Amino acid sequence: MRMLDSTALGDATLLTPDGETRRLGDLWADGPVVLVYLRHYG
Amino acid sequence: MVAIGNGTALMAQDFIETFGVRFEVFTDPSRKSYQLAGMQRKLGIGLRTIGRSIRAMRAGFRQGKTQGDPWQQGGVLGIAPADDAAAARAEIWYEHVDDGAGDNVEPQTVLLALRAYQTARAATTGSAAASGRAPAAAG
Repeated sequence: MRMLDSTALGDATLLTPDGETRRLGDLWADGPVVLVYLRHYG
Repeated sequence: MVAIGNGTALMAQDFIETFGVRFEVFTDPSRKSYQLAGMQRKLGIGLRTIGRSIRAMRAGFRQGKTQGDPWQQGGVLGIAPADDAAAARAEIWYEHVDDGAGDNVEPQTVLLALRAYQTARAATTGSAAASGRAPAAAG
């Protein structure tokens, strides 16, 4: 386990499939989360 | 568990519908979060991927049309808020950076890492760790 300065990663923005923006850091604000980065769709 | 791709929002929607995805899917067309998370951008195809491709095909998987950056590699990041949230820090309790096509992580591996993290957290805080978004089927 390691600590990460999450300022930059947390502030990165994502798009929902509907085109709305979400702040990445909000995904782990309440607890652990698994982020699966896909190579590509399909 | 959430999945993050790198195509357009429409590609993400198509991915969800085509594969009947039941977890949250986001997309990062800029790939900025990929870079910040340490994911690689390279060809990702070599001798090791041939065997993986054969195994995947024998298991019934077929590569569809690539939607997104074909050079971008993926991976898995297990992340949680640190105790001192004001310091804008997070705990990385699991990470896997794909070295190429087919370099996937077994969901059980991520589940075991999550349980180990939660156990460690409970031991240090004296209470159960936040449940968060458990990986129902990471991989």
